[in-house]
Amino acid sequence: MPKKTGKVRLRRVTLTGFRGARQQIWVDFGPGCKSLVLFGDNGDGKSSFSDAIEWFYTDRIEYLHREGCGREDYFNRYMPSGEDATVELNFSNSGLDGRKTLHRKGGGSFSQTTPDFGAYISRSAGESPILRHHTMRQFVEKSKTKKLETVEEIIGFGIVAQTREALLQAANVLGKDQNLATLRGQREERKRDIAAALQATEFEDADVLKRADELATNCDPSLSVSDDAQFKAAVEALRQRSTAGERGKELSALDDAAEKATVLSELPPLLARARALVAGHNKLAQDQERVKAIALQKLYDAAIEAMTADWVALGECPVCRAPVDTDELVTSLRDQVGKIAALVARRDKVIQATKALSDRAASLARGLQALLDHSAGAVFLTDEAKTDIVELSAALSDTIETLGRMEASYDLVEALDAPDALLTIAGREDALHARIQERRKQLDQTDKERTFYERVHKLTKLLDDHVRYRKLTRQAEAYEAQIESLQKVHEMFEAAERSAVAQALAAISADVDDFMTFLHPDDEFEGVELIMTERRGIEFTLKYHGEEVSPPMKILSEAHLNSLGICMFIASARHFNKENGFLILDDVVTSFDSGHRRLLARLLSEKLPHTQILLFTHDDLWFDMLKSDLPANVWLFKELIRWTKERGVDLRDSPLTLRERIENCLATNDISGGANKCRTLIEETLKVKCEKLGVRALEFRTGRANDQRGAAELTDALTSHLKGNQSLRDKASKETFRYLRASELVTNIGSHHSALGATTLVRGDIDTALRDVDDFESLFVCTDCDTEPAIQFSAPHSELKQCRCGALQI
Amino acid sequence: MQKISSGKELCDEFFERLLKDTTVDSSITGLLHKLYSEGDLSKEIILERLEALRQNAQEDREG
Repeated sequence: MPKKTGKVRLRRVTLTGFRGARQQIWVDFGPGCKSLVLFGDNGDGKSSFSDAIEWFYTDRIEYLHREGCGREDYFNRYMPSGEDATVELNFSNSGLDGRKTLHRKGGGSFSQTTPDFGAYISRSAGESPILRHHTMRQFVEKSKTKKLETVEEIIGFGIVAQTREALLQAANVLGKDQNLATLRGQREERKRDIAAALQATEFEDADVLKRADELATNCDPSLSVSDDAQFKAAVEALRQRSTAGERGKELSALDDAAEKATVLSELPPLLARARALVAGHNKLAQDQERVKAIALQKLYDAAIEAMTADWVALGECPVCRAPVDTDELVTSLRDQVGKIAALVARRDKVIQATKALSDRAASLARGLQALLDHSAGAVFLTDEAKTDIVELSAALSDTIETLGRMEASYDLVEALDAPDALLTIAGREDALHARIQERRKQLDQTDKERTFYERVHKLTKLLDDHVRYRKLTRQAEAYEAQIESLQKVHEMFEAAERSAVAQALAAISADVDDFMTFLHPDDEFEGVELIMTERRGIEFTLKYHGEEVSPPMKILSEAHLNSLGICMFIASARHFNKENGFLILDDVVTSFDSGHRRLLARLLSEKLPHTQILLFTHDDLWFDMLKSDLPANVWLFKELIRWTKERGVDLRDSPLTLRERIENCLATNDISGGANKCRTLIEETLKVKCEKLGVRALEFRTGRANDQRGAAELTDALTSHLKGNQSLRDKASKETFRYLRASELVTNIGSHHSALGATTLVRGDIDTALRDVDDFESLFVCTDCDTEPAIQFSAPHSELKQCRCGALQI
Repeated sequence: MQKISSGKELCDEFFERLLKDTTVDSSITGLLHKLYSEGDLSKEIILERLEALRQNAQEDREG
């Protein structure tokens, strides 16, 4: 029995009113928490147990949920509508024993409420102890990205994915922060103004100080500027001097207003550029068919990759599997992808231009407001000019909003109107400058004064721009440094994650390879491995005749892929189910190659000696094999009794042999059940004889082809073999063969007709078939040594096989 | 059987290592370590705390 590993094992499972269980039903695994093989025909209710255990931990049954079934479907449908259902699990650690009730009124509740129990349930909910027939290939058939996500889920990397996403999203959001965009825009404006003042495209702080020194010295030779403090002091001194009297203050204000008015001349070209951009955007947006195709670009790329890498059969559509001309489809898809790429490139250009224009429009809007607010400006602006400026401000706001919508999506936006004020604004600006000039004349400003005030104004603006530029630069750099740091931390984290996943993959791969080799010792592939792919994903790879193959479906048969799914499940459970030491394999060998199913039982027994296994099957041949192969001190063998409305499913200890189970059927007058099992007995008897004598009918076949090999085929092969070596050619032996063929036919018809409700078989027919099997068996047994002729007792390549003593040769 | 780090172990080790990393700004590594340790490492809270860091730095500069 499973040794103690500290992991929790099942001691007893009890269901009442849950799924197939109408009355209370239980499996007691004994004090040693034995493993279990449970036999039951399809629809007999085996999965009631796996369903109950899944619900106990996770509060739902995933495969039923995916099929649209809700909690109402968890109740046994024949139980009274007011009754609750219960699932009770007893464990190797009795402190965790608990009963969960599925309430009719809604929800489920545990009988246990201790913190330890709650923590145990929570940890267990993250484990994967159940493999079902319809889910065993799911992992193998997932995309590379989904495989990685699944492995990360299996190995408990949920917190890793959350952390990675938090770091990445924070870096991305910070990079797109509107405040940062505004800071960058304002910084560029100041930079442009400083560069204009210096008549240079790029500059250093020293260049700014040098220009400040020139301007200050020209205003007052006693001033000099060689650092920030002197710069500020010089500006302060000159401003005080220029605004010492009322006349000076007004002249200074006039210069300032004239400077601010220059914004008006920038408006017409900016608004014209905005209208052109909107038109360009709308032209792109009108190509809706291609815009929608952008969403499909990944699918197109994947389809091209699948077809060019031969992942799908030539002449088959990779999506719908309909017949197509592969070359033509690849060419057409590449053409589409090229057109989409061109559209995206044009769109990128529009977005870049839009962003730049948005920043400038925002700056001009601020400039207009500053002009309206300026005391001197307001005095010299006429009411008509103010109305025009307000109209242009509104147009700028509309422009900024429209540009924002263009950045956000491909959708059509409303075309921008040219405001009427555009026609008159140039004249308003000229008039403003004329009035300012007129006032200067009235104040009797000399050329010397005008030059002085201009220089003071330039110096003041240079200081203001420089201080502001440095502040904006510091603020933007603070953002940029944080973004860079976050991106670096994200990269480091992703590297750590990849390393950990690679380590996990190596461990899983080692087991998967070991298990696959165990299940398929003679097959010509090796080195099964899960590897990280270039993009974020993982895939199986293996060596076939020494050549690397990936993905495995390129060469593996259905049965091999099933094996791979099972091996992956067992390997991941072995490494990552840290809480529970039991696994449930629910009907996973339905189409599993029959040549390998015995090896699966041995694999579970040998490779997972400390794990409690619950193996459910409807394959009675395999069930009998398991009873022979698996030690009874470690394994329980139970089978489901025919289901009734009154009781639901029920269990009993399984008889040891198929023959005993036939007797049980006959005892309960289940003639068709007996016929079915008798047919299986005949097939199994023939198969054993063929194996022992080396009859060439048991060569390797994959998947269902092997399962579907019938008794008639085996009888033909055996007869042909015996005819070839002239054995058992006497009349009595031939008659025995003939009777067995007849019994095979009778039991076959009986079991198949039972489905139609038209069987006419009676108990005597089955008794006769059993006698025929006995007679047939006796042909192959040596009366001296009581053994059958077999390869193991015979010389290599000998035509006739002999028994242990050699007296009987066949 | 080869020891494989759990997700929590990976994160614990990463943020401890990050704290000693000299190639990334210590104010950021300190912040991320603190948020992780307190179970507050989400996009929203990271952004909130980074903004506070920028504001504090600006206030310090402006005296």
